Amino acid sequence: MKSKQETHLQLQSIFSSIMPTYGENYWLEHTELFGALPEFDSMAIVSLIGEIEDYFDIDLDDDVITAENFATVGTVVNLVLKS
Amino acid sequence: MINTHVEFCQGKLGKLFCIRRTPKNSLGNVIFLQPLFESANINRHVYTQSAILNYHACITSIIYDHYGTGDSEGELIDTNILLWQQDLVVHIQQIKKQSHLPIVIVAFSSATLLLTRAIIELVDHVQLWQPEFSGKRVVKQLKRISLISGEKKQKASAEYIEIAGYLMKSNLLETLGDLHFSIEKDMLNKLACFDVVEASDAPLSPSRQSAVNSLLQLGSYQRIIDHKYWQAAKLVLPKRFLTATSEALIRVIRNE
Repeated sequence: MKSKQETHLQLQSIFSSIMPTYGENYWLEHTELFGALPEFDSMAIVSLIGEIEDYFDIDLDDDVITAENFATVGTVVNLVLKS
Repeated sequence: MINTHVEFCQGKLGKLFCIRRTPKNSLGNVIFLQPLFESANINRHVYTQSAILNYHACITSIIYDHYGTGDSEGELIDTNILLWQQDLVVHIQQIKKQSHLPIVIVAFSSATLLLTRAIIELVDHVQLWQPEFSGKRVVKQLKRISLISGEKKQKASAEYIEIAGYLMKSNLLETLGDLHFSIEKDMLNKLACFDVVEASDAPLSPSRQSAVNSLLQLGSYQRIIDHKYWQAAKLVLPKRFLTATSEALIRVIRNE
């Protein structure tokens, strides 16, 4: 199992790939996503979920697709760790 | 100046919007097969750039919209997967009538799911770009867009379904969900696969590894370090990816 720090680092790279306007260092634990970044729309969320599933080799249930789980970088890190 | 013809060519059920770039002394033909739904829009500029690169290497390219999509005739609700596959066969047969030059299909993402063994047998080579092997996964992602956009859940028994802004027959989605592209042993010599990775040390996930293993062993699977342009929120041109895929295509056409 990956550590919180490793997961965060990998997610930084995924976030930058989906929203290249921001550099990798932008994605801190408290960085707000859902409702805060205009680029973080439905397509971006679905891309993010697809990338998470590919990279971490996990299946995310549709039930976890909530505003709370995609509120900040930190909540996404926790979601991956829980899954 | 690039010799470009924009035309409506006859498909099985209606006219298909088609862009053909034909260089002098063409060495071969490439059909760029459109992926499904939003992926077609996201990928359009990359197919165009690849077609231009190929043109300068004396390769004819054909990019067309599936029936009921883009600028082709028909509506999405009138179409189905089989029709799209039949239209591809029509295109291949038309090229074969006009020339004996090699034919290559380039398929990005979900376009891979339209390829059947019979179609692959009709052409000389297939280049897969970031292929999606599972129709179930495509449907799952579409449903997720719908869920996130707050669309109402629709009855599974309904004849029509509107999902992620696309109105279609429910059985189109069902058929798509049942599709799965497997790389069979006897196809291996015709296939090459290219994935984009952000870094050279990006691990290959076990599911991807298992899907491309046979191509990996043959050296027909390559990972190119570039931008994952299809998921970027702004327009990105994957130059290294375009160069690598175009060079590989030229080698195939020239039989090098």
